[in-house]
Amino acid sequence: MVHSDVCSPLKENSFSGAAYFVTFIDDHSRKLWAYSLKTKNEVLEKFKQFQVMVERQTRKKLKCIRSDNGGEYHGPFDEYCEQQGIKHEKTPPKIPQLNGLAKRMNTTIIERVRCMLNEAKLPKRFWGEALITVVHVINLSPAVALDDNVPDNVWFGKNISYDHLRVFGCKAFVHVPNDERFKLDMKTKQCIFIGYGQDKHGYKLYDPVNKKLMRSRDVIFLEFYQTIEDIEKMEKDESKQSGDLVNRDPVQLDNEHAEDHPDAPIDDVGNDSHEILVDSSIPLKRSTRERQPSTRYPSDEYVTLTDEGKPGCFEKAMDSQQKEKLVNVMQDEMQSLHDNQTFDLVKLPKGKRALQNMWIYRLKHEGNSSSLRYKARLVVKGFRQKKGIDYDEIFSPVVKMSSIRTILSLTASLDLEIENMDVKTAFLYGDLE
Amino acid sequence: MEQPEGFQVKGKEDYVCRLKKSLYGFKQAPRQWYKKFEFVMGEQGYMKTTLDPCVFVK
Repeated sequence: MVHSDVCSPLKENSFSGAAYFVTFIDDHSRKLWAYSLKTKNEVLEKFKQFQVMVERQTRKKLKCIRSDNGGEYHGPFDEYCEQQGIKHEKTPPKIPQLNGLAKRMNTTIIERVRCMLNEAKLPKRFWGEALITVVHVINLSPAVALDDNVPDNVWFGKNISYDHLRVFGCKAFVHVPNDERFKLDMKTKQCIFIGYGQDKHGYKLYDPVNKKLMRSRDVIFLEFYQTIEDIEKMEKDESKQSGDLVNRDPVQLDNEHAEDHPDAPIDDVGNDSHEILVDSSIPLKRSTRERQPSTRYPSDEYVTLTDEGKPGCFEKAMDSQQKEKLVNVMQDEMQSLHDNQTFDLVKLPKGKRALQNMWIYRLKHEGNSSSLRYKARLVVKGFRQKKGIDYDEIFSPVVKMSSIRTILSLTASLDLEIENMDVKTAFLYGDLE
Repeated sequence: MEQPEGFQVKGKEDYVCRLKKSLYGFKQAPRQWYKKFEFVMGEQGYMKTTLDPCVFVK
């Protein structure tokens, strides 16, 4: 069962010249398809396309379509349904409520397209691209009618991925293939992201300079605060800048040109100088990039990494300039292991294997001062341990949050004091069995 | 456990360490620590609560 409706004229033609669109919604999965139309007469043609595609993909037959009583669903459309044996449910005139699912969906689509175009500051003629993106996103969004399941999940019968989603209308750098550029050309082109390639292969992008649509898979996205307006503004700034430079110092550019390409004809100085200028603007472009700190490592480790770094293993420590300090702290650690009577030396019993261990080094900031302290710790490679041989049970209870809250609230209401303490190298106190 | 890198005892290079105490990195390290802590707290006259084994009461 499929619900269908045509959306009224949009006044502004899309790139392909379309002014309407027709939607089909599968009643079971709530998956949505939308086709843009130049005229309403194309509904039947698109419906045929849709029907063939759906029936081939699912190996099931389309049985029933519900539409309003619009003119586009009369005549040939009716005849075709009759021939194919498809039940065509038409709502009585003037009661669009009976086609509510499709009507409501069209409203949703239009609202989203409007928002996305506005947010991306794109002209209205991009509505066709926005429409496709909206449909894609709706099919990936939980639907109330499905108990918050996702249409594409139901339709394809498997979990879908969200990794490819990007902010509509954001700035993107597209890699220019080797064969389409010369040595000194920029390797990337600034574009606007305007949708997903069909069947999820690659992205669709709009090149505002050459006013072209393109598809690519090799794209880097800048998803925040970058829209077509920013790019156009920057283009203007750039051309102004390059103009200044050309006027100021043509001779120097000429020299550079001669050095770089002894073979090249002198005639295209203009072109060439332009290229050089584009290259000189690379740092400018880089500076606009939004930098985000890595969320993978805590900030203190991040600091130590950039702070001349800590050695990653014993050999590197012995090679590094801080060797002396590191040997010292390792001796401290060994001493405390001895004091603690952590192990004694024995011959390896036959048929047993010895666990590996490694040194871990840390750079620690001492309180508020900027001085750094090195730390070394001997750790066992626990991942080599085998259950039943090297250990049995590993579960350790951890205090409940509610206990902490109870104690804190007791302290507060009885006006008591709390003392807290830290057990240093707590794990080293454990006895091995 | 193998002898720590850089601290092999001379003449006993083929010896290994028989561990008596826990080390960081062991799978059972947290559990062994908890057992120790539980034991010491018991010695001091503290009782575990039934509701949260990490709360000790005297």
